[in-house]
Amino acid sequence: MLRVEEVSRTFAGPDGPVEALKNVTLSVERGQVVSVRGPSGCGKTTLLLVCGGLLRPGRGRVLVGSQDVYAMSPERRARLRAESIGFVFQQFHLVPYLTVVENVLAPSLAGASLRRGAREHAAELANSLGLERRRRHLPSELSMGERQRTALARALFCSPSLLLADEPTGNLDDESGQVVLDQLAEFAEEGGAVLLVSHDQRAACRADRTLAMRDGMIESL
Amino acid sequence: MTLWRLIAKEIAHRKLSFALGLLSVAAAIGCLVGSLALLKHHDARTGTILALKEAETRVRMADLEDDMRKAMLKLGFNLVILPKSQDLGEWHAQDYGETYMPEEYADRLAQSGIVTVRHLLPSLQQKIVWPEQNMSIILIGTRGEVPNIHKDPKKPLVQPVLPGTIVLGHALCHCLGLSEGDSTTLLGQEFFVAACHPERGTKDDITAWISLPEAQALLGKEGLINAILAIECICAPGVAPTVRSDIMAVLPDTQVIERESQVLARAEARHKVAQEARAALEEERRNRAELRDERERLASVLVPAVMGASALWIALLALGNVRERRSEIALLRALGLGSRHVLAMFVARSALMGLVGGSVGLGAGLLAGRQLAISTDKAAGSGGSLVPLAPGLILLALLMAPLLAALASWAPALWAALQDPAEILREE
Repeated sequence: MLRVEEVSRTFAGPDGPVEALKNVTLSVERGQVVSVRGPSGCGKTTLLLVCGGLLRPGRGRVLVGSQDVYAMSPERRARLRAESIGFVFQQFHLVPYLTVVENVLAPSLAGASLRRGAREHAAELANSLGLERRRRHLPSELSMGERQRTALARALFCSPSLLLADEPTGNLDDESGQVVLDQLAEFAEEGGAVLLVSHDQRAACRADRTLAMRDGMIESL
Repeated sequence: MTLWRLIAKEIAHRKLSFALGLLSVAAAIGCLVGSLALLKHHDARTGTILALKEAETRVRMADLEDDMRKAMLKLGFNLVILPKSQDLGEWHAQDYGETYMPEEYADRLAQSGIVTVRHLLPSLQQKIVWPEQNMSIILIGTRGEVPNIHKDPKKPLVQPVLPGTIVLGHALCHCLGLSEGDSTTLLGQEFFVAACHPERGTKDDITAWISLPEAQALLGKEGLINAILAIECICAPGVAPTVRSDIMAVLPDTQVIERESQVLARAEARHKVAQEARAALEEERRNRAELRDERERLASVLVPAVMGASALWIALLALGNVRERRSEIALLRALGLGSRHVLAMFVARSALMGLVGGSVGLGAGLLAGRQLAISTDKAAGSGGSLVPLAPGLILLALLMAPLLAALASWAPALWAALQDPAEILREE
């Protein structure tokens, strides 16, 4: 589902260029949860952004399905994100003035799931993640776990084939973290592909495969 | 979820920021509309004032003209047209001439289209001794006024003397013991006394009037006259000096004597009053125009200044809004929104701010313009009511407001659209 082939990415730093990714190659198949572990600053988030079509690599290529993400026009890449890729962030990135259901509906702004019953679908997703009593609440009125579940519901709204999760349990207690990891596993069981970057041991335990990352390089496959 | 719903929710969430922008648009549009309304009111008020003054001047001029016409009629004939060869010394000494001109001169003048002379009265006048009564009299033969064929007929100043009748001055009636209806003989011809004039204290008291053909026959001057009396028509300024040349153009072998300088003095006075009235009107027109220029100058500085300040304020607010929503922008881009969507989202928000602010400003501007109009009218001593603005101007103001807001926020919106979502997400 996801193939990363010899991807490198360099950033300009105050003391000269910094290689955030060095010749990274990996793949995630349908039904798989792949976890990438590593210390802070090792390039995990950069890898996820490159995989999600948000950060063009300096070298190498990224394939989602059979499509070369960076060979596409920015418009087609945006459509690919809207239709096939779901993101879950450590900081949740919920829109502060939208309710839980509206946040789940946010991908429809990009044209995804504009079908009738989108709101009902969003409500069902929220319910399935245990947010039925919070559907009309604003993010500021939610606990951390509820916020992350809302973000997860939003990522699942457009029924993506690939889920990219950046430290999804980083701000959560054990119980909430477990719920989120269960959901990711369930998504994979239903045929989705999950690339999870985290330094959380629990995430590694739930993954089908775990990769270690250090200084922008995948150390073991 | 639509973009408009997202915008509406965001506005509801950041009410203060939106309200501040809205107020600045309202101030700019209010200033523009208020200025336009005030200038329009000024124009309308100027029109009313000038129309009133013009009407007053017209009435005054009509009164003066009527007064002048009456005065001139009271003064009687003020022009005497004599043959060119007439010695004026002799004419003044005798009050009549002994040189003659054809009677048809009066008809020629009447038919010439001349407008500066009216009430033409051809006459044949001679001092004679009334042989039957052995007394000196002045005999005047007159046929009545010759009408100007190209002008409306006027009531004649002098009624014609019918053939076979005679009109006598007071002294003649008194000395001869004659009265209306008596008959008398003059130069061998019998006449019925048609009228005896009351005493005038002038040579009219010893004058006898008979019809012109009879006078010409009795005096042996068939087809001749020795004067045409007329009234100089001073209906328009600057006409008086042209009377002589007008007559001379029609009757080149005549001369013209102006008898009544009082008429000219009155005419000049009338012209002076008319000129003063026109000057006052012009002065009023000039003062109103100067006042308008002053207001227009003020508006031409104030409106762009307020609009510029408003645009700057909107741009700053939009910039703040973009900075505050960087995380949201990055998320929306990650969810698949293109940079054009982000640009549209911020521009549409500002345009909406402009539309609402413009409507508020329009109402406020009209209200402020009305209040200003009322206060200035009250100061000028008249009731105030605002002239309504043309629908086109209202539409223009309503279109201008969203355009102003959208343009002002264009740069921040573009900055938002060009934000790199990866950079923001990495930072966080």
